[in-house]
Amino acid sequence: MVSFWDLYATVYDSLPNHFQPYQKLLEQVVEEVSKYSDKGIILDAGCGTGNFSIALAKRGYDVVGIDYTERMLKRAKEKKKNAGIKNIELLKLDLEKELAFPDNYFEGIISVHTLYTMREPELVIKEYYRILRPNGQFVLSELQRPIEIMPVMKEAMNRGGLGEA
Amino acid sequence: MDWEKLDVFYHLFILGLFNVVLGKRQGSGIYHYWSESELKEKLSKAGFRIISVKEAYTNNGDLLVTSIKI
Repeated sequence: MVSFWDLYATVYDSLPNHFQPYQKLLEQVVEEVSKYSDKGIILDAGCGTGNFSIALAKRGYDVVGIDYTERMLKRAKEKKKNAGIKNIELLKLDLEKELAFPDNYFEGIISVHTLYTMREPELVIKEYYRILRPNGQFVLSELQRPIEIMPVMKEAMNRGGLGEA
Repeated sequence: MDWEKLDVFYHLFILGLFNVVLGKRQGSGIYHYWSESELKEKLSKAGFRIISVKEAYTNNGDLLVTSIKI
């Protein structure tokens, strides 16, 4: 059965390609990661189509991207291949189950727009804690209020030449 | 006709519609969003030390939180 997230995967890359706030968030997350570590294995939890994984891999990190949506991962794998990037491993894993990584394994973990979909986010955070090394960093970007549609629509209008210049 | 612009418009428009669905799911409690205090509490309880909290993303709708495992 095709899920909502599988359908979302078909247009998701409009965000990194055309939506400036997303592009800025991408830069901010990579900058946050690089403040505390310049190497090591970073987990991109809920990697979607791999935008953050690819950005981190280009900065020299080894990245493990995990997601549970087949089409998101398929797209991520295509992008990885097209970019000729080797230092990303992409895995289909359910974040709401115990993750198949040893304790203290990752140098850092990023989670962007992922926890809000979890039924029991506390358990997911607990699992991140287990697999992150001591003093490892956790960079989290989550919604603090409902997504505002108008900025996306306005940008679509402007890009389509239908709004203000 | 500028097909490239039209293509961008189409994709962002469809994306906007997906976000309407997401917004409705959030509003009905299927998904949830987080206040700064709630996020801090969850992370602290799990054993993380908060390093920074910044507003980010479209209309500062996100909280970008960096924390360290103690």
